[in-house]
Amino acid sequence: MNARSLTAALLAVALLASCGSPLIRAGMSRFAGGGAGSPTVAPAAGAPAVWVTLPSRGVKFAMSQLTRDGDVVVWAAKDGSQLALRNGVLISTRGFGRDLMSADAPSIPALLNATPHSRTFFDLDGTDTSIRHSFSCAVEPGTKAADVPGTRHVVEACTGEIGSIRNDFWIGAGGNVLKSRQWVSQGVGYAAVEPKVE
Amino acid sequence: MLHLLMAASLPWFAVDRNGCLGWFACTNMAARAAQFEVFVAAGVAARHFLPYQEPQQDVATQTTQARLAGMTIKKAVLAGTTVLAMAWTAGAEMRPSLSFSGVTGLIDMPSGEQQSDGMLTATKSQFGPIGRTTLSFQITPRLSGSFRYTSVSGWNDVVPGPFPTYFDRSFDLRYQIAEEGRYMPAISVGLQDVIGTGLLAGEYIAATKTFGSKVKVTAGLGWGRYGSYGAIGAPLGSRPAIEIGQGGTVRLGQWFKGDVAPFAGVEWQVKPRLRLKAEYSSDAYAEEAGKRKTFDRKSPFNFGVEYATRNGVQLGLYSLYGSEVGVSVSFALDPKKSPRGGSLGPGPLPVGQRPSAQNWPAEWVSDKGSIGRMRSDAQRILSNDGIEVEALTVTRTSAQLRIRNTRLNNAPQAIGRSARALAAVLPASVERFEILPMVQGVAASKVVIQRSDLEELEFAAGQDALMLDRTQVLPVFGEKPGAGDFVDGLYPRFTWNVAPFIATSLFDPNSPVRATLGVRASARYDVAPGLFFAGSIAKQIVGNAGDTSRVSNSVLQHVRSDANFYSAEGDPAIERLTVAWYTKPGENLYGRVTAGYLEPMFGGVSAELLWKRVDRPYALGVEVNYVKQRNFDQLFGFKDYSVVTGHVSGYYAFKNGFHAQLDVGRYLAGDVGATFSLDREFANGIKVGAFATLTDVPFEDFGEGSFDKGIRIELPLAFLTGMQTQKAGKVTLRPLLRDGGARLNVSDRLYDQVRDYHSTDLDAAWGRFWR
Repeated sequence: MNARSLTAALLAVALLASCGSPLIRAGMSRFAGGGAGSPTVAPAAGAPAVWVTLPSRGVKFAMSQLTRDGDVVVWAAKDGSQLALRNGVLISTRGFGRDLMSADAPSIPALLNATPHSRTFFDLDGTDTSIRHSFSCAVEPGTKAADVPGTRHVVEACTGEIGSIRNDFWIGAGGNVLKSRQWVSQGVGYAAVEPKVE
Repeated sequence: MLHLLMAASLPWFAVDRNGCLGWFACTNMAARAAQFEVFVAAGVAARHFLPYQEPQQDVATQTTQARLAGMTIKKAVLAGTTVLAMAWTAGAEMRPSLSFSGVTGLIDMPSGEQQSDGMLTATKSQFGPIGRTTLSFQITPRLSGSFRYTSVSGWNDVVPGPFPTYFDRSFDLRYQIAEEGRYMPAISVGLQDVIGTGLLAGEYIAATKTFGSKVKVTAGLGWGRYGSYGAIGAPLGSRPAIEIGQGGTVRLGQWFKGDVAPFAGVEWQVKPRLRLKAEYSSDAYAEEAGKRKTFDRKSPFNFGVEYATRNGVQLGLYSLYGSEVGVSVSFALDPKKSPRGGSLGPGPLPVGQRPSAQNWPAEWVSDKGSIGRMRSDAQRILSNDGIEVEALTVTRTSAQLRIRNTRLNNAPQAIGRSARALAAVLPASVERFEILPMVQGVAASKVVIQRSDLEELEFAAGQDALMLDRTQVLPVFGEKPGAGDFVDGLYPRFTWNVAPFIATSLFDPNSPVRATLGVRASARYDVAPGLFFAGSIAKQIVGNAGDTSRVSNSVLQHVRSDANFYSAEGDPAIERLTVAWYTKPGENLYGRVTAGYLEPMFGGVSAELLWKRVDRPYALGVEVNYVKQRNFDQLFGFKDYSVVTGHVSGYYAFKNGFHAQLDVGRYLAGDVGATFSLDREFANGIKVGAFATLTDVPFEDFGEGSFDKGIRIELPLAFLTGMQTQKAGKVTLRPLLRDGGARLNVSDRLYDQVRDYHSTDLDAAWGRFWR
């Protein structure tokens, strides 16, 4: 085999692989040895559950309540990925790819009263460096939601250096968030959370 | 069920800690000119060497994971080998494009733009007889470097000579002197073939301006090659002829001298993925087209169309010089964008509220059974992340945990997960957590975390910086856990691994790519902390790396240049067989003694002492070796040649991710000199660097290339796959491997072993503490 045909063969392999076929990617988890690791804890059987949708990836999966710590509820999927909500407002994800590591969250009264506020998101870039994203947000006064009875649909619109984001909350009479669609990160896009009714 | 079956039947890949994949090589095997190794298919592995999740993992788990990653694994069939290519997936419709020479540019001409900071690109192009393979790295936002392998076929058709195809290596540097502004174009200055033989030598200054969002216009001036067609004068004087000699030296005197010629071009982004290009080239191809008639240069005008595939591969089709059709393909890897977005592993154990005291008997501190349970609970929790507990010592208010991180490629994450495990298993009165990461049996540092900080910051915005402020990294010396504090059954420990490999040697003018496929078995027996035996045996299956028709002409002792004979006769070869002892003789001191068959070409004794403070970015090391050259068959025998070799090494980690190292000492051939290396390291473990060695061997004695130099790249598998693994692809590319400036290749030198858990590296990677 001469040099050129060898290079060509190498290139062909490279090309084949880079076409990102699911085949190769599935092979990768074999290749990678340890795989993604196994979750240390699993939610209790019969724990409350939600559906989480990631529109940018076209996926929908169930997450169950792992723990509640004061205002914060941590939800976990079967593969161990997690999502934390403070009073229903997203503050972190784990295992989603470009994870939202932490965030400050407006209070529910602030959302209901349409108080302008600032927001800070911290996510991890590809070098595992924490990146801070600041936004200033305005809230559109809630309207009675037609799609989810008994809730007010509140829209939080925020602008920052990386662009504009829009979070939607459906808030019940008791101040509980029944359903939401919230910004995660540039790598993940939005996550929609809604109750999973058995 | 179907994919379970398929997963179980998949051959899977194995790469060990120093291993290689894709077209990446083992740096510890620099024995051969440059090695590109791929570990392919099928093998058996022990837990410690090769953490590997059983194929029969929970289907639901796998499915969710797959969904999260936006993919389906239903059709899982394993095909190719090249992991690397999977990584070249930076999305890239509008990024500055690459030229035929693999630098930022038009078709055959460069432009004034640069790639984004840190971008690594590989370009393969061919038109008529001319082929180029180029690796480029954006070293800083404005400085970039390229390494290129060029081939010209039909070289002897008109002018007789020894090689039917001419091969040459070249290295470029370019610097952006102005970024594009509202009126200001992007302007770059480039030096092509800075240290090569000079055939490709050329300098240029190029300016590129974007008009609207879709059109870019470039104009420039070229010297050397780029001033060889349509010259308008020689403003800086005539270009002096140079003595090429053995090559490899910088041709300062020629830069920007001689004829200068203008070039220009335009790019039009027709659609997000489709780009058209046209240019006027100032390269006459005087040697290739004029003198040797390898192709017909009819016109200075080139045209091309380029397409960016969905995953960032650029494909190009061109018309060149009015007579030839050209094709090119380029891959780009942005170290700042993980192909998987980030790590996909499961989330951590929540810290939550402190367990209440009544879970433990009142006098739990003196109850061995309670503490034993805490130890085994911590062990069970951490084993999910490949963290092994060596010992846990608990007092009423503090706990000291010794861990060995076998799987996570991020040290702060291993610390964070350990702290969470302690929070989950220890009684409420324990406030101070001391975590001691163990490396080869010695404690690298002591990371001290207050449990209340962990509880307070678990859901705080900006938690990583806040936690880092409250975390202490301290030195460890002389603290020994009590006999009962160790986890039982840690020592002795035996681990082994069998995996296929491909070793490649490059740049032989007769056959630029040589490859060998084989199987390697390795094993390690840990007798006690810091004391272990290790070895590996390789058996070739097919390949031509051992071609012995080329005999080294080196006038020095053939310490490296007989690599082809080692390949030919070492079958099977005992690559290594050593006993190693690691120790910590002082607060900031680390020691290593390794004896036996240290590497494929040398055996003997190697001793190293490293001084490194946990809180400083610099370190100093001394290494002394007495080694004898091994027989070509790489069994137990030695040749007559023996040498005392060793170095004093200084290390410095700059704040911006650049690491410098200076080694001064005596090399394998007995020559005395120094090696300087500079690497850019990203917190995710990607490293790109270069090194050069100058010794008292005169350039004419060294031979072609004049002195030893090369570039190296390390790419962690975790970055590519999002999986938990410490494996990494490594490649060291040397234009030539000769005998001068050759260093002994002993495994696991101290500096890289301990620094992951010292402040500088922990700080850089701290973003994943809470991951």
